[in-house]
Amino acid sequence: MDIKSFNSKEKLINFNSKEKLIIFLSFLIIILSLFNFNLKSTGHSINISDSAVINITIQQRVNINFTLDRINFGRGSIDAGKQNATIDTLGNVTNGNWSQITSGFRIENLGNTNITLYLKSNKNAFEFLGGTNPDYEYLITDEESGSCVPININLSQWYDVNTTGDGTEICNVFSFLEDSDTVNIDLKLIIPSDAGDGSHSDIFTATGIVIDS
Amino acid sequence: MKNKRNLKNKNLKTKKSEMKKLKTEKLNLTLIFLLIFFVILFLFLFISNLLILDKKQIFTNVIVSNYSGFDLNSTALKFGFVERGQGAQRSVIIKNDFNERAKIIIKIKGNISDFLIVSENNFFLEENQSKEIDFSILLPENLILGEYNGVISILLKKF
Repeated sequence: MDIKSFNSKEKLINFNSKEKLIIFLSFLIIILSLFNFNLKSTGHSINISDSAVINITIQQRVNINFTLDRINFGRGSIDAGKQNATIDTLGNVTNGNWSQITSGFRIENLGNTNITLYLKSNKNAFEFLGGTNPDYEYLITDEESGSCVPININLSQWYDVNTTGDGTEICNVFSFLEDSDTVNIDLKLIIPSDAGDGSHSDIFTATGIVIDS
Repeated sequence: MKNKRNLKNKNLKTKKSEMKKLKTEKLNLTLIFLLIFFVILFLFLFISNLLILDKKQIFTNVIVSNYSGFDLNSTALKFGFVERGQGAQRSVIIKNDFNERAKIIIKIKGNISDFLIVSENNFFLEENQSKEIDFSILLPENLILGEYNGVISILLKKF
């Protein structure tokens, strides 16, 4: 009985010529499909023409965003009887009880070309803080001497933030040289006593554009 | 008695033969189905490949760091050093130099793909038309410091 059943199974495996053809075609198509898929996944696409038809230009600029959450002055209030408080990222706190912050943003030119550096904020002083005569300023300094060559501003001097276009050109030449390629951006806030309560935040955008040689 | 047994054996043989036939038919059907499936798959992939007129690949990377840094490179889309919780944008100009309207498809691969966003995808460009496409990254606060890489494939397809 066992032998018979084995023989019957064996017979099942013995395909006729029509079945053999179907199996052969199936395997051929499977192999062709896999080969075709491989062509696609490895990127060797079949081009209709030999010449390139797509032209890609990588723009020589990059924007980096800094949210002010990164510099967290924390909770604080203005001293009683004072019209405003001043806080900055150089560690100064005047007429208020905010915690001292001793570092702002640091930017390095990692590439191998000089770039022009712009800085903008999303909000001006009034939009950011509110109240009467608020102030919202930035200060640029070289972390490594000779990093920033400014034209429109002076280093180590406070300026109001700029919300228009790409903002203010802070370094006409931001050097890529190994020992002079890092600048610091510090911030100062003058918070009026009638500024709105609650949490305030903003986004700074530093834009670097390659200087055409 | 012998005749009865012979008849029983004959019936059994007929049944077995029918079962075998049924099994063979089933196998044939399965094979034909498989054949049709793979023919369709083959044709789909083959036509799909034929429709790709051109393909360009750009390397992209970002280094998640404790401070920021620019890395402007004309051959790769490098975002430089970006702090956790912060973002960066770069852009590329895509031009259709093919002599008719074509579709642009952008694909991003690699571990940068989780936080790299393209401003527009699957769009059409007319002959000689170009478009500036922004690539933005927004790094999660809990991302591990280090380098994240990827490849951006820009395909130009017919239709």
